[in-house]
Amino acid sequence: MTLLEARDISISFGGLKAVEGVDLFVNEGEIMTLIGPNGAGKTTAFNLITGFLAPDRGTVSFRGRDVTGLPPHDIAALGLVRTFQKTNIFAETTVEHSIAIGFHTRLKAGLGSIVFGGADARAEAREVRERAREILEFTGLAPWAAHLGKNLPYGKQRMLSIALALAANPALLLLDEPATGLNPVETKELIDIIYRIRDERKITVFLIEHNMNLVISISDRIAVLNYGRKIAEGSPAQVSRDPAVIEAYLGRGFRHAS
Amino acid sequence: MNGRMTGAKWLAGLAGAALLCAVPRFFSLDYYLHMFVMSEIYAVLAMSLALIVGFSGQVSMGHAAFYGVGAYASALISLKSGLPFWVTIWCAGAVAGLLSFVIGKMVLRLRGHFLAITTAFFGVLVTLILNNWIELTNGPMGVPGIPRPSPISLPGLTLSFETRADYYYLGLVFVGLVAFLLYRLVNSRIGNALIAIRENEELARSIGVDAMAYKVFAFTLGGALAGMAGSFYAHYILFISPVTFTIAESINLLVMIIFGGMTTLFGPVFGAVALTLLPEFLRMAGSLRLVIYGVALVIFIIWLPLGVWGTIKSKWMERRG
Repeated sequence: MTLLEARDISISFGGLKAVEGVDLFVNEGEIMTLIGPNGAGKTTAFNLITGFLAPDRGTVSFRGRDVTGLPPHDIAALGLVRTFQKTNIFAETTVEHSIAIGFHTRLKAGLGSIVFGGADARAEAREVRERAREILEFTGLAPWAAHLGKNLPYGKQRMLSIALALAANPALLLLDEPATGLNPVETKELIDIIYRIRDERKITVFLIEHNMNLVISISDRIAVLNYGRKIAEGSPAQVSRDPAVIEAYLGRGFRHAS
Repeated sequence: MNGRMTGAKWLAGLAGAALLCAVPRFFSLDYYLHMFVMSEIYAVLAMSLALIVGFSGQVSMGHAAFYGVGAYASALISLKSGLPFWVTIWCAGAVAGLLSFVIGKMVLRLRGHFLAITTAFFGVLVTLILNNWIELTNGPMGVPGIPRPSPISLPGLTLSFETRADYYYLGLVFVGLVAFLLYRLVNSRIGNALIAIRENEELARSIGVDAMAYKVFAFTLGGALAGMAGSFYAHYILFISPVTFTIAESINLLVMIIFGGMTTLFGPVFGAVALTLLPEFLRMAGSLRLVIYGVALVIFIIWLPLGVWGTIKSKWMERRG
């Protein structure tokens, strides 16, 4: 089943066509990757899908529902949650508190119940603590629970941003270059957690990544952008043989060693 | 971490409340009691401003405007319609809340310095209106003859509001209720959403927080509470004029929450009380008073950005692990 479908999405900044007529789809249960040289429009495509930018043209539908032009918080509430390329965390709150904040869209307690300590508000608060604990264990952040976000080592900060996104209850998780700056050990942990996110939590994963070993090993499908246009799409094997892809990365005149 | 009260905390709270109630017995001079009542009004104002600036991270330099609008709304309604203070304080909250909602909707798209300057502008605008809409506000001459709150009698206690001590007790209840309301709010999903916006608005939106709606909520509630504090002030001093509600007062409120620490609720209360009483104590330093005050402030902003109470709290949390 198609979970996400973007059709003909396009946006220009001044004269620059950052994303131009791109079609993308993501099937439920797969790990899909978007690759392309720097400046190809990958993050812009993510921004268009998650509502951080409104497309000039084209539509985005998620679970059969048109979400084009919705604000980011509404799109997140529908289960389409993204992380950011730069490390984006709550710096001055503890890891545990950050994850509790991440549960925002699942909480419904009304103002009256919150102020007068109603049963539903208290039950919700208890449930958040339990589920936050579970996410801490799942992401291996439990030992860091009481630390402020800004005091975590870099790799753990990256993991925290994934944990936060998980707290927001995604059906589709968009990860923007999650392996950036990670050492080989941390990259292995990342690959492991991406698999477990898909297999144990039944969350579909759509990522942007530059680390080719990671991309080839975990992706079910890959789409390639170059200068804002999609130039290839298919299995890792198909894409890595595609002449247009090789040209985009290595330049014209390159011959595949046979 | 959570909001649960242990037995020891209850006991400490009761002891504190008893101590606060006993204050008028020890400080019977009107002058002292006046300083304490003003501390209470500032405590409410500082908490309401901390909700906006400290918890939501939206710098407002026009908070005194809502304080003033509440004071004028309450005073004018009670003078023209004869409604008692117990009704007009809610009218003050509603009028100031509505105004802050409208202004919030307009200005909260802006960030940082732009927001600060725009809120300052609205603060100045309100003072201009209070000064110049003479038919309604009596302009710079102010509004005299504001009635005192009608007496209330509870079993074993009668408050006639003829003495400052009565206002002091009412102020204690006012501060207590506002502190309770805000305590529950900032420790809830709503407080979490506000903290998320303060820490990282982009990230907050990505996890589903409607940043604009929550910012407007905090701004509106903060404005409404400031308006209610204004009503209390009007029916306490019994005379109001525009000079009380200028941008200098907005900055004074900001200084209080910077001093006490604006990311906790006790910090603003501490700052309000300290900075209401401190300048009085500094009177013995004569003309050096404002210099000492200014230097202390610079020291705070540079070395204690969390404020007095915020610093104590964070050190304590660190030591606990």
